[in-house]
Amino acid sequence: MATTIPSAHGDVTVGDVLRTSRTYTVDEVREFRRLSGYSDNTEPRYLPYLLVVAPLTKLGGDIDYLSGRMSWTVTRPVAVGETITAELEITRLERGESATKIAFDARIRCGDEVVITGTSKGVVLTAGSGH
Amino acid sequence: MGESLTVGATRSASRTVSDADIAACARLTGDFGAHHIAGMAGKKVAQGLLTLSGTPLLADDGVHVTGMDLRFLAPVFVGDEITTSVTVDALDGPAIAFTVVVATAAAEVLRGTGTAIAPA
Repeated sequence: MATTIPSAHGDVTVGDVLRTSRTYTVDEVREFRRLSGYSDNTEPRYLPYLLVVAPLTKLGGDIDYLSGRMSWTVTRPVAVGETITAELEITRLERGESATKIAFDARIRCGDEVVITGTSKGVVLTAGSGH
Repeated sequence: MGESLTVGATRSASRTVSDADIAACARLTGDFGAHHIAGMAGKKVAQGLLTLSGTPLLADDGVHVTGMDLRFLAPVFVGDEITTSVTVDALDGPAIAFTVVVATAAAEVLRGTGTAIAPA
C-alpha cells in the first residue's frame, strides 16, 4: 500500500503533481515590500524573488509542509502582471511516528516557459497512511 | 547592497514576527498551512517565506536572484525576534555569491547560500 498524505487537493502520493497559479498586482507587490520592511513608493517592474516562489509556499501549506531544505535555480526575472504557475511533484514519502518525510521537485512556469526549478525536502505534519 | 557591495560586507535586518505578519503572508501567498494558522504545540509558526522576507539583498529592487540553497534549522514562532544577515562571499562583475543566516537570540534558524545579479 502506497503512503499517502491528505492535502487540500485530496489524498496525494509519490508521482502526484499539485498545481496553482497566481498573478500579482502592483498593489500586492507593494504590500509584500511593506511586509518585508522595505516600503517604498516606486513602481515595481519585477516581482521580488520571494513572491515568484510564493505559489509553491501555497502548495506547501496545502499539505501542511515544514521545510528542512530547499534549493532553487532561477532562469530569469518575472515581471509584475505575469501569471506564474507552481508545480510540486512528490518524489518521496516515508511515514514516521510523528510526521511523514517528504521530498519533491518543483517548477515555476510562466506559460510554457520554466523560470524556476528546484527541489525540497522536509516533513508533513499531518499523519500519513500506508507504508 | 548599495555602497556596501564588497566581498566580506554584511548587512543585517531585525524584526519581531507578529500574528499580523503571519496573516498578511498567508493572504499574499495563499499559505494557510495549519501550523501557521492554528499553531504547532500551541504557537503559530512563521512561513519560511516570511522568515526570509526581511533579507536585505533579496529585498533590493532590481536584484535578480539566480539561485538559493537553504536549510531550515528550526521553526520561527510568533513573537520571536529574528535577525537576518547577508554576507557577500564573492563578486564577479555584476554576479554576487552570498550567505544568508537568520537567527533568534537562542539559535540559528536558517542558513543558506545564494547567487544573484546586481542591477547595472
